[in-house]
Amino acid sequence: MSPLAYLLCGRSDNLGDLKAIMDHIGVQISWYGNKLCRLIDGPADNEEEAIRLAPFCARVLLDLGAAAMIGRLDPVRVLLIRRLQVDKDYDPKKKLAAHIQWTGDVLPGDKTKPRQENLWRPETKLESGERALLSSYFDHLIWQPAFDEFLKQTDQYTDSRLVAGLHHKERGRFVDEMRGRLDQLYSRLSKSIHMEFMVPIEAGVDPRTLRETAVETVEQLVILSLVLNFSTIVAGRLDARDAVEAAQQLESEVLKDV
Amino acid sequence: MSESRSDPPLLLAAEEIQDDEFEDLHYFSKHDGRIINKLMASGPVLLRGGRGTGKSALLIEAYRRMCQLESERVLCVYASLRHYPLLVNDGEAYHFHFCSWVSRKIQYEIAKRSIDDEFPNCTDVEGLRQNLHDLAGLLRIRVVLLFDDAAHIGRDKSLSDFFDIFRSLSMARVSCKASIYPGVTQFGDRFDVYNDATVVDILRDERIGDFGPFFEGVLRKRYRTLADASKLSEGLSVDKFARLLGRAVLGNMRAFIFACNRFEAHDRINLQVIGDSFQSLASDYFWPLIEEVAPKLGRYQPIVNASRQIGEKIFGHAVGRDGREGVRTKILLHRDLVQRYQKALEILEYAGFISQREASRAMKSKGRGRVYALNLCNLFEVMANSRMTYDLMDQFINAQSDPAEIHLTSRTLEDVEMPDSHEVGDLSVLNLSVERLNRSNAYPYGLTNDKIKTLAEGGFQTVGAIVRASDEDLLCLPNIGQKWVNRIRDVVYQAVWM
Repeated sequence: MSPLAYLLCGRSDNLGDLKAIMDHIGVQISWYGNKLCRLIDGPADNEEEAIRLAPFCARVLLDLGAAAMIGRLDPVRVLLIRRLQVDKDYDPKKKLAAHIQWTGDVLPGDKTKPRQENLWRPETKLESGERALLSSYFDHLIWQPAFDEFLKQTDQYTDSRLVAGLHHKERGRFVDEMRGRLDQLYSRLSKSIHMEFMVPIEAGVDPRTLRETAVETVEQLVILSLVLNFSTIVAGRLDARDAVEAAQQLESEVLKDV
Repeated sequence: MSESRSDPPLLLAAEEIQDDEFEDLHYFSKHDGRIINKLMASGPVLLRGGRGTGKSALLIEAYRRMCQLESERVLCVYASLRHYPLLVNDGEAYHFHFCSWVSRKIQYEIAKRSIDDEFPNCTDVEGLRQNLHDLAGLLRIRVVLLFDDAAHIGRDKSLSDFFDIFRSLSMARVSCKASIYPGVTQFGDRFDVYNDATVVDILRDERIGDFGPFFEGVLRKRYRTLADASKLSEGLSVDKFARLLGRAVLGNMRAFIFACNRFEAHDRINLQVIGDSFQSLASDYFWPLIEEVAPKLGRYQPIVNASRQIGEKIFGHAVGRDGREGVRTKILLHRDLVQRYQKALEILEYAGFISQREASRAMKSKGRGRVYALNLCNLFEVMANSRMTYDLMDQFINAQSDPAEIHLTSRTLEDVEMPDSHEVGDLSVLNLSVERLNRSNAYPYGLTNDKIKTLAEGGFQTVGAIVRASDEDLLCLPNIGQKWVNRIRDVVYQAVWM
């Protein structure tokens, strides 16, 4: 398993039924991650292939990474999808109502953030969107405690730019920032998936932008999954050293300058 | 002997350096390379960094690389917003001046590249947006607009206008990039900083692995005599010296350059020289910088005294009453105190006294606080009977000790009063007498008596009068050619803008 897959999927040894899902996602992440690196670091005559395929690989990585993190925080969500997909009545031609969606499961549907004073009311019941990976509820219940734990346990690793950069951030703004960055990346990469361009794709995606977008995709997944591994309730949690070392390996191999 | 021959101007800021010297005087790390890539790629970017961290240098380098490597694909425009009408206007007037100013920059770039097309003088945002869109489509290229000095700490009102324009001009083929200060939080109603741009932080943090090699790289590139190991006394190596100096000035490149100029004057660098230089940098550079900053802070000018007081108290606190606890190179300030003294701390950070290292850390005495690294020159200044030793130098470089905590109940800052900030008219720096531009500790890049006399006798009695003058107005003065006009402009820009 690649370091990115390891960070995103965690340690699957004792995950029971979740292990098969995480192992499967991990294999996919490793494959697409390696393919993406080969495309963006490939020879110059590879440019056309990179322009056409790299955004696709990066977008798949975003989907897979999000699915892995959702599965580790809310195993029932992915166990249900798996059960539905192995059921005798499963029909690949039909849309699965339970499938993971970017808007609703990763980003909260409504962009308007609920006010702090409205979060904790007696009638609160988490609806779709409010259970999203980067929703305000997950921010308060999962991410902020994970971020605190991350700060507490990573003092000795601040020689890593990635770790030091997180130490400079406000815990309460981490999720806001991740939401904005992931949303921008998803929109940009989706243009290449849905073939929305009615003009030559090269006009909108030059090799430099392409490379930067791909690297940025990996970087944001590394940051988010690194912090996730410091949540005390996440399944397959990596210990601090393993998580930071995997992030540092990616920092030196993928998030480098060329 | 003319001033330019006997005493070359102190080049502290990237934007003052001539094109043909830029490459020789700049060094970029691998991480800088990544930032430059982001500036060259498509998409809106806000480059965030304190004063002197190298924002302008990165923007200029991105511009240079785009011109050299990607001129077929990209039309790049570098526009410093050090333009007087942008400083004193907001609302529609700001939009008008901004669009005119940027149009002229685009016209200049088109002419420079001999492109057979004309760009009109746009005076409103919609016109500028439409024409940029047409230009990119016609030439089948991307347009990258690099806005330097966009955010001014003392003028919050025009910031929302700027970010409004930034958002409007960002299109599929047109990317806006701008440099901003960490204290900038006024983005206006329409601009969502997390959705409308990618914020890239320039971190010059001594804890990061590439900090020492970066400053060593600068030293080797720009100060070859200082990078000569034989000039350093036994026990000092070039990498250690570079790391110490970089850490001493909190990674602030402008202060680093200033310090290197001081050290260059010595035949040999030993502990005594380092100690003396730290003391003199504290008294001749950092404290005067507060004095220099004050008149350009606009509504925050009254807060400068509080900044000065806080500076004295936190450095004293870090050293401790009897020094028995050992030297602490960082402080951990309770978050309520950070909130209460926010602007005063920002001014200290701007002037290079402190630099944030951690946004939130648990305090031993309960609660959470923010960690700031302290500059070593001012720290050394307040250490009783301070003498530089190898042991102290190692403590400075490899600071392992916990930060000195200032809790809410601590009495350290109890008598610091924060005055209210209030809206002001002109920045007071504009009303300063031209004589204040005389070279001094506060204005190390200043002008000589001779030139100041020429300006005053020519009717330019205040800094504002020079800012408002056209090149033609200044060229009418005796013994002032275009070279001197540029030099005077650089000095005035340093005095007025951040």
